[in-house]
Amino acid sequence: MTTVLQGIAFADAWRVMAPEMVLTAAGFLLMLIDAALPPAAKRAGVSTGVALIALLVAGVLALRRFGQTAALGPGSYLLDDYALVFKLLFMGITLLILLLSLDDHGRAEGARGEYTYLLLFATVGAMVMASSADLVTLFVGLEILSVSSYVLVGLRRSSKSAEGAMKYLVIGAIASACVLFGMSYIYGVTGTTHLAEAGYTLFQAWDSYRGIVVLGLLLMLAGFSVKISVVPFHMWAPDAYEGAPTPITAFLAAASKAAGFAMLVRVFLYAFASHFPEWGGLWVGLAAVTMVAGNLLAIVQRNVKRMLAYSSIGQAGYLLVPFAVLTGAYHGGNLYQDMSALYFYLAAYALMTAGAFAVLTVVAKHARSEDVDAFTGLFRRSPLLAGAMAVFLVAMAGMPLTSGFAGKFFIALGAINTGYYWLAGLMFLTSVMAFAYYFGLVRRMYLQEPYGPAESWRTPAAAALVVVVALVGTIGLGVAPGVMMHSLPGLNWFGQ
Amino acid sequence: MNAVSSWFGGFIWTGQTVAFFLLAVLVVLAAVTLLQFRKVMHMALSIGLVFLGMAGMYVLLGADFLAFAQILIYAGAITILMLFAIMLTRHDEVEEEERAGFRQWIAGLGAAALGAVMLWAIRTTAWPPASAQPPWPAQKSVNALAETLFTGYVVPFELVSVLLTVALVGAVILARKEE
Amino acid sequence: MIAYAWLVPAIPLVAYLLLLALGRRVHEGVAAAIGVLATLISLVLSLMIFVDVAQGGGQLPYLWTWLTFGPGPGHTWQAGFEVNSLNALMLVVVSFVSTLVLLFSRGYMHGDPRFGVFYQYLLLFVFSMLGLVISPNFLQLYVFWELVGLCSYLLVGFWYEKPEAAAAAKKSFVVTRLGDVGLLAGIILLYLATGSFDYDDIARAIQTGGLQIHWIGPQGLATLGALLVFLGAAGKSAQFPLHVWLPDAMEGPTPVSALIHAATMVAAGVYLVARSFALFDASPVALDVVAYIGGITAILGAAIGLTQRDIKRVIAYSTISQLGYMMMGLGVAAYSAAVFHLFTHAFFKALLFLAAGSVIHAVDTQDLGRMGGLWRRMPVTASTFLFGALALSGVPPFAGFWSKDEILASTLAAGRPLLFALGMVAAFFTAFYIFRVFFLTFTGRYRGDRVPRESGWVMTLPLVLLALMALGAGWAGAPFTGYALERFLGEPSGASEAGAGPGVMAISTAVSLLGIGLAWLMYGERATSPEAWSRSLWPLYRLSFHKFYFDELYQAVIVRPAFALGKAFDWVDRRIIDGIVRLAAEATLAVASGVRRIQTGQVQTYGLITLLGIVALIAVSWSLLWGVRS
Repeated sequence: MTTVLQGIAFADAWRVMAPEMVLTAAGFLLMLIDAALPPAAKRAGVSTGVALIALLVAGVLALRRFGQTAALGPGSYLLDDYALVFKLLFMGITLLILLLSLDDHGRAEGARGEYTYLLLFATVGAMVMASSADLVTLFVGLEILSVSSYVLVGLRRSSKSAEGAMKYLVIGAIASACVLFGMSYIYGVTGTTHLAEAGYTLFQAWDSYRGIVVLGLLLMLAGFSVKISVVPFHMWAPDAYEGAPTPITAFLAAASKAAGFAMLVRVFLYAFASHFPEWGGLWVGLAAVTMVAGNLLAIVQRNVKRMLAYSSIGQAGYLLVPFAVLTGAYHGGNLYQDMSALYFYLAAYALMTAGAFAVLTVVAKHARSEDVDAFTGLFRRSPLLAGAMAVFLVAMAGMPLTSGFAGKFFIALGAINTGYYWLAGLMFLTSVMAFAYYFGLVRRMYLQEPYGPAESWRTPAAAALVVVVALVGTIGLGVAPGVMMHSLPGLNWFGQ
Repeated sequence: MNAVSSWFGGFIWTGQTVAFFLLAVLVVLAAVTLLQFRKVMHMALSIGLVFLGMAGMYVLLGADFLAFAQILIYAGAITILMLFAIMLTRHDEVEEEERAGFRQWIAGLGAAALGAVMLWAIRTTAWPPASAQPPWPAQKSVNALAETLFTGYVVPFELVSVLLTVALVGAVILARKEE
Repeated sequence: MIAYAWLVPAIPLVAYLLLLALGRRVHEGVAAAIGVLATLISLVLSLMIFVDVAQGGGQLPYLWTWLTFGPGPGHTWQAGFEVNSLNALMLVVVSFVSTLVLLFSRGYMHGDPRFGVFYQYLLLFVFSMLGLVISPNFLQLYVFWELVGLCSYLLVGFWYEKPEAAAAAKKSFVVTRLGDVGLLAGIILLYLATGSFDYDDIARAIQTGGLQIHWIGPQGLATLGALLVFLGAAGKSAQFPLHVWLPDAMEGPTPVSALIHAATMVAAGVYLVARSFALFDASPVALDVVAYIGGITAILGAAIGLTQRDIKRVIAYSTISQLGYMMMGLGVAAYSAAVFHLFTHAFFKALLFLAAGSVIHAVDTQDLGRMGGLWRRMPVTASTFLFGALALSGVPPFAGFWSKDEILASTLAAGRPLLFALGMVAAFFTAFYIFRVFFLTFTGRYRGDRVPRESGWVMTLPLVLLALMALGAGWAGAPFTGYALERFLGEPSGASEAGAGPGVMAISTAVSLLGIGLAWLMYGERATSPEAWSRSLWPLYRLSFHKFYFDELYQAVIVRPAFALGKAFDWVDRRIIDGIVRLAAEATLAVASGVRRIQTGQVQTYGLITLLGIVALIAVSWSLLWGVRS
């Protein structure tokens, strides 16, 4: 008997997944370099340089694909603008994180090379999550990102780091099991792992196989919720964030979360959209609970990293809103509008998070502490850091003329448009709560005298670059959100 | 009454179902004892038992190749590797103080609730009658698997190599850090 | 020139950024020079714009699309600027007073370690205020509205090491924020009703009856919108009952009081009501509220001013009272009279504050009981203060006379004799309290211990210029110039105006002179003893001296309950939340002490919570799971 094996030509693969291929190749190259070079050689500079170049090349390749659509395998791996905007976001974040970690030799010296290529592989995993339209591919991407993240969190030589990695690993494994189990239910009912086909089958199967389908949906939702740290599946986040090297914390908070959203939206939109109004209420509830709990819990934190961790949990709540409100009125125009709002806020959030963690990195290095006390009187020590941190904090709280406000505004607008007035009100309320604890930190930085000798703190050039980029982005998107917001709905989002 | 009987009723007691229940009980028991054992060696052995039971399940489902691979890789290679690792390293008995039960009770209740819901969902679904023929002839399962892997799933197949590399390197890094 | 109106706020902004770049250790002279130069350029530009407007009338706003969004009918938000006769006048007033205040501060703030920072804040304020004035729509106005509020907060609390200053800054911030919430709600309401933030669009919608939301009719909507906007205006302009922050704000440096809390920012509320007059005009109820709140504020401020012992507080209450006059004028639809009073008041009140600042600078106290006899020692300050006091009292031919009389005449013409009476009594009080200050400060025997000296030219020059304006600014709208200012402003439809007839003029002059005379008898000549008066009228005296117990009332009705609630939350926080936190902390410590604990303890809890989360998720979606099974 003969089976015709249908191969995939390299040209096709290159067309669809060139950025991933470049980054993967760069990752393996770095592994080789790492093994070949003597440990005394300045690995850090070389590997970071290679990684940066690879990211830039991949970024250019991604940019050139905008507006095109293609698929690999029988539609299991997609090239569309939805995937591309997310990939650009991931690569941008990774670029900033790499720059930021240029100065973080101190605690992760032994693992410099690994640090860089694991970060690249994690980025590849995130990109796969954004692009795949197949449950299996999706899961592989998710695992690449997760496993790299577990290791990255555990890189520091401290018990906190090991503890964080451990907790992340265990809870992450539970989440993966949930996702996989849920996927198996969906596969069982539809007989396919392909999202769009599954969605078509589920349209009819929804009523006859309701219990199974809904259980599968719920299990997947729970698993994804762990990844994007939605309350009550958020428990791992503060510990992992606290234990990880600070740039990695930024990566988890920004890129990892964005990847989770990219995956979440793709899966639920492709597979379950037909019965959206029925299950969409779940999202609304999760969004509300997450917003409130994240912001409330942040108030009692004294460690700035933990505070930012809880705040990022709260932000996940805001990010759930645009998709949640689609339940109210699900149609094309609305979808693109809400996708734009989601993406805008993700980008804004990634920038301010990267910036805040960049400041934290520098401060923690000088003060040897991540406690809020380290920030006391920061203005006297480094006006740049204090000013930038203040901007990032008020942006997270949603101060007008910062990107945080513009993003929240678009999201709230979507909620109001579809009649979820109370959700918009809740967003406003939690924002006010957020102001309370962020302003405490701002006041501490500006109005109090620093503890210890009033030396001024130098900001390393690379970290300063990250801070400035984040600052310009945060203010730029706040003052002129139209620049980005007008171009987003015009994208060829899902290639229809 | 009717609802409950419809959950559990309707079995046809054939050799297959008997084998299924025997294997299921074996797997569940092995998994539970795994959690109860104090010695790492015992744990490794009972996880080997879980792997074997799963291989039996695959045979029942007509996935012969998968069952074979399961025995070869999981029950064989991985369990043996674990045993080696345990024998070659120092290992203390993990003395877990039994904090009596609030958490265990809650966990038990939660798990029971989850199990009940799943059972309910499966049993109340009107499944289509099982086709007499398996999707592929038993001896062709290798071909079928290979074909799927190298056509529809070639992208994830290639990506798994990245995943495995990451896992391997990560394990090495974390282990080396402990030194 | 009008097309370049954006330069007017832009130049102070550039100066602000320049000072920011130079840092806090910049030389005093350099900072002052940059600041004064920038505001001077703004002043020149404003004057050119003013002339253009006077010749060419109003212009269409210059707008750029800032943001377009929304499915369905697209929403477009615009940003830009607009020049009309009202804000051309405001530009001149703001930049003129700013220039003089920045010059004055060179002397007043000399030697302060944060001199440069002071100028930064002032320039930021000037930018925000000018930006507020030329904003073409509510949204942009609101941004600048908050910015001036922020600057006010920073400047009131400039000497934040003084606990009173920090408390005053907080109070001003919180109280005005109360009003701002109303304003924001009003703006959103109007936007929902009309789909636009633009003043003119909203005015047009009102006229064509396009103003309605399904749950409220056009009339109710106009009233609600106007009242919400007025709430914001009342907060900023310190109208009863939100007036309590302004006297406390006197803890800031005196130039700040002159610029922000007399001439410009507090007038922003009046400006806002004037700018959105079409909205108020559509609702008689709202107009009445504005008129009576204004009247009450006018008499209340004046009555409290009678007995205060702190020179700046007297002038602060005077400001509250005068702002009340303006609101009262707007409330009886005397649009241009109110704006006219805003115009003259800016000069003579800035003058009074700066002169008081000059005195404070010389004697280093604000207590009237420790001044006296400064006429000979500080002749320039004394005589300019006298100009300001005469203008405030409304003695002809000084500026205040013309504008105040026009408001009073309008109340009569509008058929509101009660308001007229309130205004007259307030005028009597005004003349009395300001001359009480004058006599206590400049005549009699010096009761302080520091030897006072006249201030240098950087401080006296602004005084002299302002004194000239206090004398002559009113002539722009006087009958003998043919009401030039009123004609320049033009009347929005619905505004009614009445020139003050000789009768009103005579009465108000007599009332003013009566007040001045009484003050002279009590504090100048000492013919009657003020102590005897206060004893015989002690309930009234106590009431006035304790500011009608507003602070105490708010303390009892709002602050205490809030604190009690806070205490309750605190209890919950400490007993329950803190307990949980401490538990978590101890758990973390326990975990950190041994790796074994990590693997056995907390992570299992996390796993358990995740499991329970899934169960809860299933439980809440039970109906989804069950569905409508066929």
